[in-house]
Amino acid sequence: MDDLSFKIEKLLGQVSKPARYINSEINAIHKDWDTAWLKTVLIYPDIYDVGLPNLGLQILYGIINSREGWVAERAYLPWLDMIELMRAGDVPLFSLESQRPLMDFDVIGITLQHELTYSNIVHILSLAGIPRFSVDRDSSHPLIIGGGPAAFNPEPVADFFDAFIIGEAEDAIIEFLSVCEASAGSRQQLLEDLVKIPGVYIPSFYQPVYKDGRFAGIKKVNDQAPDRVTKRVIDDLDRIDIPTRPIIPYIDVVHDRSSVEVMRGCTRGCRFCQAGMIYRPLRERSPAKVKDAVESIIETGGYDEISLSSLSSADYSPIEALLEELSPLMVKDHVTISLPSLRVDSFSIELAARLSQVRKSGLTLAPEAGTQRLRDIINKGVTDDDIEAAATKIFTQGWQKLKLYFMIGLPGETQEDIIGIANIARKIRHLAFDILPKKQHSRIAIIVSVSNFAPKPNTPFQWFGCNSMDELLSKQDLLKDELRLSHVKFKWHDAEQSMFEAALARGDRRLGLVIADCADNGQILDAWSDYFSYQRWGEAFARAGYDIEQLATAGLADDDALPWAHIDCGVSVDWLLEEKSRAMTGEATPDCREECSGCGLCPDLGLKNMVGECR
Amino acid sequence: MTTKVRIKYEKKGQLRFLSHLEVKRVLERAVKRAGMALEYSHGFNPRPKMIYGTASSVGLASEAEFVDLVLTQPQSPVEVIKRLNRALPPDIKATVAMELPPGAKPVMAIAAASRYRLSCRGSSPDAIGEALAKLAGQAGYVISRQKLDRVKHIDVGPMILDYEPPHQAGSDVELDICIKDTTEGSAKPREVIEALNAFFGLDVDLVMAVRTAVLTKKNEKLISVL
Repeated sequence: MDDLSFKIEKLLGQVSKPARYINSEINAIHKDWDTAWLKTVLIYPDIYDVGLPNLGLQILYGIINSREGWVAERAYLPWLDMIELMRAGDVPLFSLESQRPLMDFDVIGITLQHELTYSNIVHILSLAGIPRFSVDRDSSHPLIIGGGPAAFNPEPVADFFDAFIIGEAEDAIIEFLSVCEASAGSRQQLLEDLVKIPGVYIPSFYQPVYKDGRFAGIKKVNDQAPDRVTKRVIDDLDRIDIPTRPIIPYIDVVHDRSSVEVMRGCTRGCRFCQAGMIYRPLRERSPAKVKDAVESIIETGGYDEISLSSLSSADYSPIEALLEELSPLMVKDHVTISLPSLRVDSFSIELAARLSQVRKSGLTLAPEAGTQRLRDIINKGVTDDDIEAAATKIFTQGWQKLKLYFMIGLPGETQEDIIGIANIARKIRHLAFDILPKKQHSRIAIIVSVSNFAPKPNTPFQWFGCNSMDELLSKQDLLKDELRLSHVKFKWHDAEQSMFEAALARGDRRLGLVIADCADNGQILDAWSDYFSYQRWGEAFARAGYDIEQLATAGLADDDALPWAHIDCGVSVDWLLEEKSRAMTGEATPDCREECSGCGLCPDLGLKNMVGECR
Repeated sequence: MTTKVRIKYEKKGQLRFLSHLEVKRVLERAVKRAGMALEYSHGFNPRPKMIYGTASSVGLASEAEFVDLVLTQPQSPVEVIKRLNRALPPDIKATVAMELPPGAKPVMAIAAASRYRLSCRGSSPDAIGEALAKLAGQAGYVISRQKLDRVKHIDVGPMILDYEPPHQAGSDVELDICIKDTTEGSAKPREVIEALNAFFGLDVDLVMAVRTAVLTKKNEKLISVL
């Protein structure tokens, strides 16, 4: 055992959940280090429990490791007790598989899932002993690259990274690493070679311009770089291998199940939803491939639950036929098949009812807003009747527990819309008591979960600000009063966390210093409400001359420069603006399956919407 | 007709840091991956029927852990071991399997003591041997164990049934010790060392503890389970 492994083993006896740091999980890939020539480590910037289930990293892990001479290992942010011991004992952050310091790798890939992981990135680099800012690194350091949904506005963390891959990276990662593999020159030379790959964004090749303290645009400072970096898209999902050897964790992770991605993209076009925009167009996997994958996962994994994942799996066209084929497996192998998101309609409920032949837990519906008027503004094509029909079906099928998702602080929202949320909850509670037999009444539970709207880049609502803190709190208070009902539980999302997310989500490159400063002052694990500190963030923003609430609530003008304008997600800005004005008149935009609304993505990227005709 | 097979397995290397719950999940998944025909419990959340031996604490390595599998059809114990080991991670390994006669009691119910091999540093074999001679069987050497918000007091001496004189093995002092395992409680190897340090002025550092056997009473004698 080498020195570092020995040190790590010593620490394992002193920390909580030592199994987070053990590398012999079933299906983990251990490639020979000495004969490999390109070493990468993939990082989810939160603890193992949260990071391990991430499907995107599992896909890339498989792709990279399948190439001869290339290694992909994993690393996560250690829990606080481990961090403290590592700092005290001079143990650098290490990869799981070969237990090597991150400095020993050629490329470090970090996924950006959401803004609440940004402070963790600073800690990861510092635990690894790697300079956090790309300007302070050279070819003696690993190349730090990022990707994932939050990379569609990479600016707040741009200074930490050498490069980003925008969009779906299955093809791009191979092109990218092939360039790294062949490179022998300086870091600058490598970046100039990398920038020729479509979808690769090199932040140091662009310089933001500020005017009167406001972001005013971005200037290219290297001729090799494109004016706009267009996202990568996989034209045909059946071309991409489904990870069928999922790593089986020893500890209880957040999603203790395996997933098979049945499709990418969503055709519904909810105007607040970033995923619905950046993952366009819709692509479905063939059911035969999905079935094969489910079968091999049962064989190689031993998981109890396999999720058929996508943004809206009930919309997967062959879903019924697929479930028909999978149902014998569920009985034979004692496996539960689950759909992560349900539509608000009775078709979805019928699917769910069919799946629960093995296990019956609660269901979740997401009407998102309390009135028809507001649902029209956000383009959530769901009516009061749909909600009622779905709930009726749920209780008729025997479920006693139902969770409802709503959002408050949406553009155009009035007091009536907040009361509308309570009205829906009351109506559903009523239905439950009417439909379920008396002896089950004590078990009825309606959970009303309410989050706060935060504008996301690349959505029609990117120009709107959040509600102020006072507005959000008073809306939450109103709901607390309205929902004081037996068998109804109201859960709300922390307004401070939403405010912070919104400030970062639309932030420009100047926020990098704020993030580093706040992390240096001890901020870490923002996704954990016990550790998120609005006050500490507020102080860090203030030291740089900003105010979180002001950034979060600011409305942007149509012609304001956007910090992410040089990142092209395929959907045109003109269409986003049209969508914004349609929102204000409550005009619906059809599902792309029914009619193309001309977002511009398919023709521009040379793609075709698999299920509808493009304009 | 179901049959029960008792498996003895070892848990070593880094996997000694798994909690009892985590080990259970490893075994449950291995059984699934191995495609073994296990009886399942009924209800909304069916689980394979597996009966576990006494929980071993996090960090303790073991050559004597037990689990009983309830199979829906008879299978040769050799075959069970082969299939299980193909599905288990390398540091957990089935070593013995035996078909149980009907009505056999679970390990948890028959365990009376465990034997451990401890590797220590910090004091000489003689010093440890002398202190152990005074501690073993003697009441009154009480140490406390913190469990969440409760404190439990453990009288360590009477828990020690037997031990071999410690001897030097490389840079460590090795020591075989037999500790009572009762439903009312037991002492952990770490707690024996703690008592030696607290009451006999030693400064022993426990490097590694391995459970080498689980013992059961038969005709007033302690014999090894499997």
